Amino acid sequence: MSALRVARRYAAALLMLGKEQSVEDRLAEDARLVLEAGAQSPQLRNLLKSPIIYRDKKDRILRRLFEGKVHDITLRFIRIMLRKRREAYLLDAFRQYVELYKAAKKIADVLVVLPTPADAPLMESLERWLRTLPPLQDKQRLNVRTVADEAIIGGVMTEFEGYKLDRSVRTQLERFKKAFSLS
Amino acid sequence: MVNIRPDEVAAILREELAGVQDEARLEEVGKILQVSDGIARIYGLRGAKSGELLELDHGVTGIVLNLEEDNVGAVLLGPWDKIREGDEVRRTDRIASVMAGDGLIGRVVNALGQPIDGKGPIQGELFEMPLERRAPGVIYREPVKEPLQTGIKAIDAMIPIGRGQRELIIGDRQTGKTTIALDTIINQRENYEKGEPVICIYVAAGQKASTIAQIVKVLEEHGAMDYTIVVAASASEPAPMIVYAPYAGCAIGEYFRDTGRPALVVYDDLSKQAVAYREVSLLLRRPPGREAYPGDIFYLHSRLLERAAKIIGEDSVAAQMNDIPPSIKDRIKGGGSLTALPVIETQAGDVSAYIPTNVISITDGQIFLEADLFNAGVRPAINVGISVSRVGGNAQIKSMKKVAGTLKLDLAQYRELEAFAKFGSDLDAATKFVLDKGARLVELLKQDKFSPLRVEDQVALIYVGTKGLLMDIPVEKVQEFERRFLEMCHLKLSEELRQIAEGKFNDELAAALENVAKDVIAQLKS
Ligand SMILES: Nc1ncnc2c1ncn2[C@@H]1O[C@H](COP(=O)(O)OP(=O)(O)OP(=O)(O)O)[C@@H](O)[C@H]1O
Ligand SMILES: [Mg+2]
Repeated sequence: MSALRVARRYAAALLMLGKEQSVEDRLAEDARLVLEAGAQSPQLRNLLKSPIIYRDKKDRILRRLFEGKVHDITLRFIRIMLRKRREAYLLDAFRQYVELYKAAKKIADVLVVLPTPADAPLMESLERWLRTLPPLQDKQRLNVRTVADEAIIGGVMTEFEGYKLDRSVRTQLERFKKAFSLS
Repeated sequence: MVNIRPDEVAAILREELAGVQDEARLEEVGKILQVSDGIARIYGLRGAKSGELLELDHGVTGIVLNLEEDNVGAVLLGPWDKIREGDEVRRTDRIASVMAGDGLIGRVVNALGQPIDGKGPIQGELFEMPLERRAPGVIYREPVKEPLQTGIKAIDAMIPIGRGQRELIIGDRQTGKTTIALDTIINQRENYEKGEPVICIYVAAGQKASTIAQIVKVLEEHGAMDYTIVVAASASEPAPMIVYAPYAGCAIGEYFRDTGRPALVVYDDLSKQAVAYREVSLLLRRPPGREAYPGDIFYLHSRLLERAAKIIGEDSVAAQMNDIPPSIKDRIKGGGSLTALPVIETQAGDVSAYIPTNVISITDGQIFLEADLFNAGVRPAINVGISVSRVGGNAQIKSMKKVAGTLKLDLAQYRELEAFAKFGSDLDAATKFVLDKGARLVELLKQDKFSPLRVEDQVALIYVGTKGLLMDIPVEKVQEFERRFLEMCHLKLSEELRQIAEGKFNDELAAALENVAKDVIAQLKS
C-alpha cells in the first residue's frame, strides 16, 4: 500500500478519537512537535526507518523521548504504529493528521512576502484582503506568516494551499521586460 | 529634417506599456517532484484536469496525463532538460492546442504548430484548435460519397477512397507506403488548379529527419506545397512530441473541415507513434499489456481516426456540431471533410500483430503492400486480393465503376492460376487466356512513383485492359502502349475524355477508345 494511504488511514483514526475526547487541538500541537523533532533530527528519522533496531528498543527510545511531553493519546498512537510495524510511516501519519485537522477546522497557512516588516495595522488590512481571495473565503482561521524581503521591491506576494498570487513590483517589471524584448 | 520630440517617445512608450498585461492572477501552482525522460511528477495542482496544459519555466509546457492521489504525472514539451526538482508549475485552465489557420499552408511545423522551416512566423489569423477533441456526432455527418482521387490506377479502380474516409496503408518497411501517400497529395494539384483545393496535411511521426527533408523536397518539386502542410516530429524528438504530432495534424485538419473545406491528413506512421506512446506510458508507470503497450493504445488510435468525417451540407445543422472550439464558433460551414490515410508498418507481413489488427479494425479499409510484389517489380506493390475499401464504392465516379467492375475478379483468377502455371505448360485455352490477360492487367496497373494519372486517363486505360484489347501485344510492350495510347487520346479525344471525367460512359465513348487503342496496337506491331 502506498505510504500516503497508510498514513491517511492512521491519521483519520487519530483525528476521530481526538474529536471524541475534544483534544484534537492538543493532538495537533503534538503532531507539530513530533514533526519538528523529525525535521531536526536525522537520527530520529533513521531510527524510525531502520529495519535492524529491535522494536522494543525503538519503543523504549520513543517513550523516553516523548513521555510527559505529549498527550497520552499521542504516545499510545506512536506505540500502536510501532506494534503494527508501521513506524516507518509515523512522520507521514502526523503530517496527514495536520492536513486533516486543518481541513476539518478550516484553517489555512498563508505565507505573505512584503518588502518591509509589517506592523499591526498593516497585518490587519492584509488579513482582510486575504479573506477576499476565493480559496480563503470560507476559512475560519488564517495562520499568516510574513516574511520581509527587499528583493521584491514593492507590492506583495502570497502563497497558500497550492495557490500563488504575485503582485510584487519585481515580477511586474519582469513582465514588462519580457513583453518588450519579445516584440 | 524630421524631428522626434521626447514627449512623443514618452507617449508611445506609455501606450505600449498600457498594453502589457499587468493584472496578476491567482495561480494554482505545484512543485516538480521528479523529472526524467520528458516526464514530470508534480506535487500539488489538486485542481488539474486530465489533458490540461501546464506552464513551466524556460518556455516549457506540459500536458497532464496521470492524476494520482498526491501527485500529477505530466509529459513535458520543449527543452525540459533545464527543468529542476522543486521548480514551479502553473495551471493554465486550457486544454493543449495548436494554432491553426490558412497561413499554415505551405509551411513545415512541429507538433506544437510552431514553424521549423526557417521562413519566419505563421502569417494571418490563427485559431486555437484543441489537440484532443471529441469526434463529430452521427447527426452532423454525411455518408461518404465524393471521391478522393489518388491518381494511382490500382487504388482508384479497385480500392476507391472517398472524402471523409479512413483508409489504412499497411505493409512492411520499404514497400512504398509513403510513396502512395505522397502520390495522393501530389494528385490533389488538379483540384488546387481548379480552385477547389483539398488541403493536405502530412504528419511525419517518428521518421528520420533526413527522410522528412526528402519528403518536403519532393512535395516542393511537384508544386504540392501550395496546398500542403507538413507536421514533423522526427525520431530524434522526445516521445511526447511524436505522440502528439498526429493529434496536431488532425486538429489542423479539423480547422479546414469545420470551415467547410475538404482536407486530407496522412499519419506516417502510427506504429512509430504507438511505440512512442508505449514509452511515455511506461515512464508514467501505467501497467503494460500485450506487447508491453498500455491498455488504452486502441483508444489512442480510435479517437484520432474517428475525427475523420464528412460533415453535413447544411450550415445551420453543422453550426450546432458538438465540441466546436470557441475560436471558430462563428466560422462553421457545412460540407467540409477530413479524409485520413494512416500508415502502419508491419514486420514480415504480419497483420495479426497487436497494433495492425487494432488499426485495421478502426479504419474503413486497407491498402495492403507486399514486399514480394515490390521486389518482383510490381509497383505500387498492392496486394489487390486482400486490400479493400469498405465505403469507397459509393464514391467512385460512374464511368470508373462501369469499367473497373470485373478488374478485381480478373486479377483474383489470375493470381489463383498463376501458381499452377509454374508447374507445366500444358494449359487449356481458357486457362491460358486468363493468365495472358492477367499478366497484361498487372503490367497495366504498374505505375511509377510521383506520376499520378487523371481519372479519365485511368478509365480509358482500364477499359482497354479489361476489354482484352491488349492480348495482341506482348507483355513487355504494355507500358509502351500506355504511354502512346494516352498521348493519342489527349490529342484526339479531349472532348470524350472530358465526358468520361464527368462520369459518362456509353457505347460511343467506348468505341472511340477502342479505335484509338487499335491504331496504337497496330503501330506497336509494325
Ligand atoms: N511506384 C513506385 N515505383 C518506383 N519506385 C517506387 C515506387 N514506390 C516506391 N518506390 C521506391 O521504393 C522505395 C521505398 O518507398 P517508400 O519510402 O515509399 O516506402 P515505405 O514503405 O514508406 O518505406 P519506410 O518503411 O522506410 O517508411 C523508395 O526508394 C521509393 O522511391
Ligand atoms: Mg515511409
